[in-house]
Amino acid sequence: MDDNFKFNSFLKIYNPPEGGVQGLIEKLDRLEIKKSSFSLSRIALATGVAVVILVALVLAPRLIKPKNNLFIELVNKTENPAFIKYGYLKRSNEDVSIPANARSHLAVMRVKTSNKNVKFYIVENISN
Amino acid sequence: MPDKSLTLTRASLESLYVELEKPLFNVVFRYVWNREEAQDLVQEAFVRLWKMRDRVEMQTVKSLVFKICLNLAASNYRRKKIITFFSLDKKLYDSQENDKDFLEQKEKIQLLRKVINELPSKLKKTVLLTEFSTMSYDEIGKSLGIPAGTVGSRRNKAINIMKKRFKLIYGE
Repeated sequence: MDDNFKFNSFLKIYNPPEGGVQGLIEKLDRLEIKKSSFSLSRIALATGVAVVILVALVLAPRLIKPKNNLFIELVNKTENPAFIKYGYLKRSNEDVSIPANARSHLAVMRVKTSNKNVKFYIVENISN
Repeated sequence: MPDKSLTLTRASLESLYVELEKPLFNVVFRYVWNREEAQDLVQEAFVRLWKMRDRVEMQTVKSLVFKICLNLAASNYRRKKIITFFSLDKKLYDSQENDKDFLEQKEKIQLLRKVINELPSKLKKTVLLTEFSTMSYDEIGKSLGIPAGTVGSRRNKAINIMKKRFKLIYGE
């Protein structure tokens, strides 16, 4: 075996099998299909998560009981305008007093106001 | 000829494949020694190129695709070597043929492959690109991340090693 044969063998240019481009096109098409189905599944997943979050947001307030339900009830019973609505403390020039029928109530917190003359007390309990 | 526009399109990718299929196939074939597998790896290189098309510069796309091909071929070769080492694949040396000439010819081809396979990785990549890629030394240098001068010296070294091995195997 002479050098020419050896290097001719090494340098021999082979023709690739037929259908190379077609094979590439098919692979690229499969890639595109895979990619688009992956995008669809991602969209489906994102939609699912969004629906779950939305449902949770809608249902959560209904499922969670207000912690100070009794207190709100009590506030309403005082019939004082300052306590008409919990969380909305109206300022009043008059001293806020606890109604007579509720004197047994326990005042647990004094709410600070800008007017020194106004004194708010948060009452937690009431007896009939 | 590849598209001269700045971005890689499906059409430019396909025309680049047509242009480079043969040289790429010949480089990869010297790693895998299997026609279908070599073609599959060349196609896989183009799929990878397509996946990274947003980052591809058309001026250097040729060097890049050879680089991807060489990396795929080299890792395939390493994997095959491990499989052969653990004797999971004996197909390489199996033959049903008893014809003397065929066996002689086969033996020669296997020895030639052995010489090529045993070249150090850097030299093998260089000599395959210089002989088959149709790229200039500058482009090969870009593909391998080495200066053009080093391409020339590595090629000469590889050829000298191969010549010595051939002489050892076949005598003067």
